Formats: sequence, C-alpha cells, structure tokens
Amino acid sequence: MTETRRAGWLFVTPIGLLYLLILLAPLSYFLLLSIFKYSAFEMYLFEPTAENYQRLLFDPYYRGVIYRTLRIAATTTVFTLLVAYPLAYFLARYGGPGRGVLMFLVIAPLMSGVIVRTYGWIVLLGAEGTINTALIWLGAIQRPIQILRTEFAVIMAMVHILLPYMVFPLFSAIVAQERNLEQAARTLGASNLRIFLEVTLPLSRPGIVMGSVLVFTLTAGAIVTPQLLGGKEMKVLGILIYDLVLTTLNWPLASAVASLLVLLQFSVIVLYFRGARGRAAA
Amino acid sequence: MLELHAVVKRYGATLGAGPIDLTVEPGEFLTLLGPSGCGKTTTLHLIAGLHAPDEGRILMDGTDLTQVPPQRRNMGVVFQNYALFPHRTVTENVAFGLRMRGVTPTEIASKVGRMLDLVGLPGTEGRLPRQLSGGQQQRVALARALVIEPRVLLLDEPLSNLDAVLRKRMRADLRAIQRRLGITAIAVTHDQDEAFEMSDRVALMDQGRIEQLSTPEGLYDRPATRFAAEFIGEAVFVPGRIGSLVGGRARVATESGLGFDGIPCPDGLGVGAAVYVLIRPERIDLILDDAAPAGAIEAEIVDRVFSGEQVSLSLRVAGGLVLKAKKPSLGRFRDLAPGRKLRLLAQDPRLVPRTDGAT
Repeated sequence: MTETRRAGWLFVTPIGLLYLLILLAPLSYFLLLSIFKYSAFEMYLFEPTAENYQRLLFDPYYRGVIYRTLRIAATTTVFTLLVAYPLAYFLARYGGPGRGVLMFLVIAPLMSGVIVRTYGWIVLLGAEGTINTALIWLGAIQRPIQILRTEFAVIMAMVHILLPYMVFPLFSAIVAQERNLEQAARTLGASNLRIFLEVTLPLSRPGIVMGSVLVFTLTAGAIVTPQLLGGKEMKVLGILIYDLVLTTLNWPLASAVASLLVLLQFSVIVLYFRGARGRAAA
Repeated sequence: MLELHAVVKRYGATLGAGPIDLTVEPGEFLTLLGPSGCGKTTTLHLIAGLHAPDEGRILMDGTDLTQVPPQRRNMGVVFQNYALFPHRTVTENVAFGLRMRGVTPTEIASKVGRMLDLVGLPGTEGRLPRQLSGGQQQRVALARALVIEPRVLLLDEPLSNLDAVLRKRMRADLRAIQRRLGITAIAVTHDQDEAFEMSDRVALMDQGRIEQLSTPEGLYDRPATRFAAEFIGEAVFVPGRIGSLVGGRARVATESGLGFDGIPCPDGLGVGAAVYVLIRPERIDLILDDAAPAGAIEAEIVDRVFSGEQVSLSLRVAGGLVLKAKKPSLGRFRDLAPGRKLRLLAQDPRLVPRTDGAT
C-alpha cells in the first residue's frame, strides 16, 4: 500500500465508523427484527418467521400502501424533473445580472422546514384556502373542490419541496458542458431541437440520474407531507412505519416495512446508476 | 470565393473586429495571424455564422450569407478544444454532420471510413474521445469537419493544444490534406511559424483590423508597419528621415548619425518623411578582415549569446545604437567575444513609416 492510499484510508475512517455505528448497526437490527414473531405482550419472540413479510406482500391493504408509495414517488420524480430541467438550464446558461439572486431563490425553500412549507400548501389548497376562494370569486366553481387529502395535493407539494434536490444536480451537469459543443453541432447542421436531443440532454444524464434518485428516495420515505396533505386515509410506507412503531407497537412488522422500503430505494439507486453507466459505455 | 465586405462586430461598446475587407480565393489556405484579442477568432466565428456581424456583408460565390444561420452555411469548423461530443464514439462524432443532412446509413459508413483513412485514424472507430490522445482528437475533429464536404474549412487555433513535436507534424499533415482535397481553408493562430508554414497568404491582424495581407514572403520582406515588422521575426528599428529619393530608392539619415543609401521606398513616402530603417539580425554581414566595402559601419561586440545552432551578437555602433546579428555557430563566428571591434554591413534594410509622434 502506498503512502497516499494509506492517507486516503485515514481520511475515510471517521465517516466510515460513523456510518457503521448509526446506519449499519440499526439497519442490521431491524433486518433481524423483521424475521421475528410478533407478540402483543413481549413485542417479539425469538422465533424466526416469514409471516411479517407475508402479511406485507399479500395483504391487499399493505400492498395498496406499497403501490401508492411507489406511484407517488415515481410521479413526483417525473414532474420534478419536468419543472426543474428548464429552470436548471436557464440558471446554467444565464450569465446576466441577478443570477446569484435566482440561485438563492432556488435554495431559499431549503432554509425553512418541511412542515412550514407543507402548512403553506394547506393554506393554499384548503376548502377555505386561497385557490378555492379565488375560483369561487371568479365564478368557476360553486362550492369548494376537494384538493387537500388527494394524491394530487401530496405530489404537488412534494414537487415543490424537493425541487432544489433536482435543480442542483441538473445545473451542475448542464453548466459542466463545453459551450462550443452546441456550436460544433450547429456548424454541422443541427437544428436547436436536434442539438438539445443529441447533445445537451444526453450530457445532462448524470444530473438527471442523481436528481431523480434523490427525489425518488426522499419522496418514498416522506412522512410529514403525505400525513398533513394526504389525510388519515392516505397511508404511505413512511407513515405505516411510524404508526406501527409508535401506535400499534408492532416492531417486527414495522421492521419488515422498513426493510422493504430500504430495499426499494436501494434497488432504484442501483438500477438508475446501472442504466446511466450502461448508456455512457454504449 | 469567400468575400467579407466592411464587416464589423461589436461586443457592446468594445470592438470585436472590423471593419474587415477580405477575399479568399478557392483552394487557398489563408491564415489570420495576430496577438490575442486582435479579433481573429471573432472574424472566424463571423464567417462560420456563430456571430452575426453588426455591419457589412459576407458573400460565398456571390451569394449573401450574412443572414444564413450556421447550420445552413455548410462550413466545417475545427474548434480550439476540438469540441468533440464526449458521449459519442469516433464514428458517431464524424457521422454527426452527415446524419443531420439525412445521408443514408450505408453512405455514411463509407464516407466516415474514407475520411478516417484520410486523416490517418483507422482502427479508432469505436473509441470515445477521452480514450484518444490529443493528436488523435485533433484528427477526429478534422475528419468531422471535412466529411460534410464544407465550402470552407475553418480552423480555430487548431494546433495550440498539441505538444511541439506533434504540432510540427500536424502542420504538414493539415497542409497536405487541404491540398489533396483542394478545399478553401481559413485558420486562426498567434504562432507566426505555424501561419507561415501552412498558408498561401497570411492576414496579420491587430486591434480588430487586418494590418497587412500578403504571402509569407511578402510579410517578412516588406512589412507595411512597425507592428507587422515586430510581429514577424526579429528586427531592430532605427529612427530616421528620408533625405533624398532617386528612382524609388531612398537615402536615409538616422538620428544616431548613420547613413543608409539605396533602400527601396514604399509607396506614399516622400523626402522628409519620418521612417524606421528596419534591420533583421539574420541579414547583417560581419566583416572580420580589413575590407571596407561601401556602407560598412564600425561596431563593437557588447554581448554574445550562444544557443546551439546559432550565436546572437549585440553590436554597438556610432551614436550608442545597438544592432543585433545572428550567425550560424560555426567557424569564425563561433568564438567572437565581447570587446571585439569589427565592421558590419546591414543587407537589405527596409523602410517602415514612422507614425508614433514624429511627422
């Protein structure tokens, strides 16, 4: 082992130990717990069983929760990408004054908590909220329409809350592109659309991958926003774990849900990065 | 034939280039030479259509190109950093322009193959730009620009990112390929050697304008201004005035008290005009024996620098003026030392108008 490599290991040791302690240890703990039998009196029995996972995967209620979580995460990811791309492109290419202010405006929401921003959406979307009041005043509707407690509300708020996580990886990927690649494509006869599709977009792939993974995993694990905007009926995996741990006190089942969530998120990450690498080498 | 008529490009209040008038003949290799910021790259971009001129017109074979966007100008551009598409293979890079033109896949394959042979890159088809050396990337960029059979090949500092050895070889290769295809080429460079070795004609640029447009020989032998004389090769400028003029040949008295006779006088200069006598170090004869031909000047060696193939000598003459001489480092020139007195004869001096203050 050379000097520099040894130094390299030294640098990653503290963060490695921290990860081992606060991530791997609990992760192993609930992975283990998820195959133990639930007991109403002792929380769990040291009896290996598959029943937690069976319940999760075959009970229509739990399956519904899994589907809903994936659906919300996937939809949120797609819409965040659609909203973030033009914004990131503009920020990356706009050299004029005020770019710093625009960047700040994109980051600013991160400085207020998720709960604050979610309450903001309640104010907007509620039965007596800004949108309904405005629509009634305009005569478009007679009585308030149901926006809160719909998946639509959850997705819209998640898109808003997670936008910076998509904008910044995209911004980095676009700003890193040599500007004269586009000029070169132009002199070779490419129209604006072709330049975007053949040069700019493919070269944004690392940013798309990174942003999508962040938004997907964060949405799939979200609790606060689905809880507040989706209402009691709209359970997602995060809320399910929360309920099972604190209300039902079924830790083995909670562990199974948590394991499944981690597995799902991890699969998405692996698939995405695989895909990205596969395309780059092709 | 490519024509630029009074083309001007401004960036806000600052002048990018112009006004520029330029005609490039079919099959010609023309180089825009000049220091950084002289407007040469801007001029190239104007021709490519990457910038729109604020004034003037650009014509190709009589058709006005000024309003034609770059994607329809059919100019092949090789960028300074090559601008290869990093996510595409060599083949895909070269094929790009043909695909944009809707050429059939079989035709693309054969054209790309032939072009890679021409630039000397067979066997790299499936590689990505980052897997190639700088010289190979340069050749891919050249192939990509040439395969579309452009009306003009535009080269922006094409060799500046290569090491010295490769640069020398690539100059010759570029020239050979350009000749074989008979294509009109315009290159931009700040390197005089590069410009001279590749070009039929060189346009020397300064402050957005073409200072002098000539063959390499013409630029070297008959620089029109002090800037041109300084940029091309080495020179000593001795200020003086034209004393008399006979048959296009001037007699000049310099301020330091030297006299030069029979110097060809450029048009527009008359008796009394302030001039520089331009003396090139490689055109100074040193007289080491007692001979005293007409025009010989007494001198003393004050400095000597040995650089392998040649010796550079600083020679002080009457009036404290110091001239430079360069001699091959052999025989009697090799061991000349400071302090040595001798006579020198400035061969082929030239006159350059002196516009800085004196009239």
